Amino acid sequence: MTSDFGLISVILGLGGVAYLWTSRSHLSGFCGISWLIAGYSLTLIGWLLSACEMVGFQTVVNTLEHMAFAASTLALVIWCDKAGSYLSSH
Amino acid sequence: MTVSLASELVGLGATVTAFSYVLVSSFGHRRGPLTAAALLLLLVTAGGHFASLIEIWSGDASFRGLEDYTRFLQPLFWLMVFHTVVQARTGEALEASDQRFRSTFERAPVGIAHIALDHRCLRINERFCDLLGKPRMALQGKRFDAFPLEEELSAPRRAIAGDDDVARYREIRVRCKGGGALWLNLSTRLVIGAGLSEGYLVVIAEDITEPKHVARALRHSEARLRDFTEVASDWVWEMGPDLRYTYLSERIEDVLGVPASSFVGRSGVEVADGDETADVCGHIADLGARRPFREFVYSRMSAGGGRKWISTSGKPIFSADGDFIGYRGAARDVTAEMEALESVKQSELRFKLAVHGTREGLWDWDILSDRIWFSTVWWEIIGIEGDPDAQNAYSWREYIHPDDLPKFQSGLKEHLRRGTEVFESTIRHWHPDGRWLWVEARGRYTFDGNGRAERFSGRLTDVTARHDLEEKLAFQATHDSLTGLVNRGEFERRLVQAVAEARSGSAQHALCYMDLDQFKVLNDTSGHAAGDEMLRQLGDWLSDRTQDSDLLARLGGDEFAVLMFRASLQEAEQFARALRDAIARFRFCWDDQSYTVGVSVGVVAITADTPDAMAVLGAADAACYTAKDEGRNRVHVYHEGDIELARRQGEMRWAARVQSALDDDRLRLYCQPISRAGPADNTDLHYEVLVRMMDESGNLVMPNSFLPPAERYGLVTRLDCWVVTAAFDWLCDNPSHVRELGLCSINLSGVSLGAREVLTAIDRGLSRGIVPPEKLCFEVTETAAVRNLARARRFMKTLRGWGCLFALDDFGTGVSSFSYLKNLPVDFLKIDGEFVRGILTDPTQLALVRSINDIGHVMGKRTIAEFVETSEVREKLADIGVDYIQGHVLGRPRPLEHFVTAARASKSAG
Repeated sequence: MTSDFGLISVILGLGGVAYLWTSRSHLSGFCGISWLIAGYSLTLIGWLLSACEMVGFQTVVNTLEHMAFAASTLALVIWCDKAGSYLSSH
Repeated sequence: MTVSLASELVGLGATVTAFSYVLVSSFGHRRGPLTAAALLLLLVTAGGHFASLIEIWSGDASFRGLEDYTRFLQPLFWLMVFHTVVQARTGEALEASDQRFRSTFERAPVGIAHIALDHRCLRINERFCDLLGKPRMALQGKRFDAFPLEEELSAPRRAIAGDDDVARYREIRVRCKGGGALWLNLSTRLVIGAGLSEGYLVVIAEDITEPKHVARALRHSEARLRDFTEVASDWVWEMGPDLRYTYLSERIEDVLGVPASSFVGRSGVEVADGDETADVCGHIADLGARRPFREFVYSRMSAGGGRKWISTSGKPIFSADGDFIGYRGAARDVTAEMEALESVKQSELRFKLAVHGTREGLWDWDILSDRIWFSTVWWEIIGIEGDPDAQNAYSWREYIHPDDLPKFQSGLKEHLRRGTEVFESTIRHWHPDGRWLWVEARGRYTFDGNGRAERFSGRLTDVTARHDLEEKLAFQATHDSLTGLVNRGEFERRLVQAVAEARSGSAQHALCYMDLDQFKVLNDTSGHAAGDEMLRQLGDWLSDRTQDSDLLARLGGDEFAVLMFRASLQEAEQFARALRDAIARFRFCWDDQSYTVGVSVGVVAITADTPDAMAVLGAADAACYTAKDEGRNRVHVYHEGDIELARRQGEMRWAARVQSALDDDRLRLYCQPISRAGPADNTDLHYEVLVRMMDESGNLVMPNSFLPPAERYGLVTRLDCWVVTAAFDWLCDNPSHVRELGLCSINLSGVSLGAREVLTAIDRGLSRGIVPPEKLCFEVTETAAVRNLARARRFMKTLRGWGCLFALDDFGTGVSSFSYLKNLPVDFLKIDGEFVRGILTDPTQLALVRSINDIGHVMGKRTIAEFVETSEVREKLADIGVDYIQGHVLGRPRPLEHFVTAARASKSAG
């Protein structure tokens, strides 16, 4: 079950990548969008690590997974700060 | 596990912090979809971190499921965040687009309006409102009626039918605020919505008023240019880059008679076929260098045969890129100008020839520019030709003689002030050779329309020669040509002045009248040349001895006079005596002969009592004659009451009266009959013509009163001429009398013997052919004939040669011997009356008469006894044998007409 959720998350994450690709013209230029995309990319890495956890090196992969999610959260926080600053000035 | 725990803890803390931040910051205040998506994402992420933290902390695997669920949900919320970002970005873009549209709509330089299909104005921009001159609120939302749009608004039906969905354009004229009119270029296009009612008309109005005006002005300008081109004397042309005509206006045909089209394609040089005044090579060089040119003149024959002169100007034209594309210019017919120019050239040439040909210097002073021009002859006259420095420094005024300058300037002012026709002044002009030229300046001012003098021009003539001649003539008119002394006319003029001065009492003068003695001897013996030379030398000699203040003159012949100014009679007498003595010492040498000459001098004082100049001269002349009569070489001073002088003056007055009678024709012919001494014979009409004078009052004057003065003062020859002429006139007027005439005797004076005038008068009378010469007898006194024996003989021979007779008058009174009779070819001897009167009482006189009669008869001459007053004397004379008698016994002298009438009556009675 866990691995199923991991695979579904990866698939959804890749779907999200496809959406980003198609909407790149709208996204470009938005404030701190690179932090947001970075956060999404780290999350996607976390999902991939989570899906790979059952293959081997479970502890290491799990640790990396938690680190990726934590980094993703930090990137999201930074984006929130950027977006907040931008919105407050407009 | 510690790393994982720490990571999750950091993630949870960060998520919570971010969540809180989003909620409290402006991010959260926007409360839009993005905020919500972000919060949900943070919430799910925080849930994942929390579940994972609990699982690691507690080791309870049941939290693993919660974690998986949160992980599973995370992609959805990430996509939600991304989607809201995309949505936000799209909204922003729309808003920006709308903003741009509005801005464009409002700020467009053209008017834009959206008109609904029901004619309602949906939207209208500021420019449109300005164009219509109405506020927006008066237009927007209201029915649009600024100009009709029915045609455009009916289009939707056709558009739906597929007929018309394209933009439409038209120009309309609308009234604007203030009453003016605007031209609008209207573009419309229908925007069809989902249904017919949702469509609207987009109207774009552009103000084309100014372009319209510009276009109209351009059309007007073009029309005007076309009109000008058609009516102007000039024509315009255009050349291509190959310098061949591409266009010429039609006017050229009027000038050259050739259609403009015939020149198209030909070069300018080909068109010219005659002599050019300008440099053709230079013109071609201008064209080649693409330089503009002006007034290039060439000629060509017109179709009518006459040569036409054309002046053309042009400028190169270039494209916007700077490429040469040809020439454009205008040309005009300058034939009249060229002919006028030629005429002016000819005129100038003639003027130059005239200027150089004349001997008059010309000047032309342009007063406005103060420039003065002098002709070459001017410089030649004043002697500085070929000297530019002197000419540049020349100032006319400085060269005028100081004495003449005031007259010259006043003449100029007078001419300018009075506007006289011509200014004329004769002045002296300095010449570089040191002399003064006499020049005549003649000029005139010309005035402009305002009466202001603008030029002063004229001519300068060198009249030095003429002036010298005039001076010479004036000198000759007032001086004697032989001696150079003042002549009689000038002397009398000065004498009149002196008398006037004396009569005013301001001064007393004196006159010495001198007549040379025996001058005639020198003339007769050595000839007139010697006499003239002596007079000339004597004139110089007298000049040296006369004071400069006195006036020495030669009055004529051998007469001189000295007018002594401010001199008393005593001083004059003293001077006259000294002069007489000096002249006595004068020696004149001629042909190795030395001659002396004496002088008789009459001296007269000129005082306040002197009546006039003629009286002074008369008195001086009389005094001089008196001096001569007193023995010559004397001085006679005229005094009031001088008897001799009075007589002399009386004679002079008689001479003047004779002169006056001659001039006024107051002489009359009388005659006294001559008849045979024997019994009266009426068949032989014989008489002597006598002359009488009528005085100013008509009284008869006997000849013994006027003949002696006439002889003394040289009037007798003229008197004789008058008698001869009058006698001939009368005889010729009475030819019947001439036929009855036996003999007509006419007296001539001794002075007239040989006088050319008398001979001419006789010849003229005879040549009329009425009076036969044998019926004329001229009487000459014995004394006169003997005194001028040779001349008398020539005269008598001449007249006898013509057939006339001669009588020797007053025979016996002279001292001549009878031997003279042999030398004188006379026909009659007239025995002097003094002898005839006493023949009855004085045997001596009877003997004298008899002897004269006998000798006369012996010499073949007939005798006439004068002064026969009684019939006894007549009988006695007849006894002696005298042929004819004359005297009161026959009749007293009476007018010729009366005598002839009486004679004719007596003859008829007999």
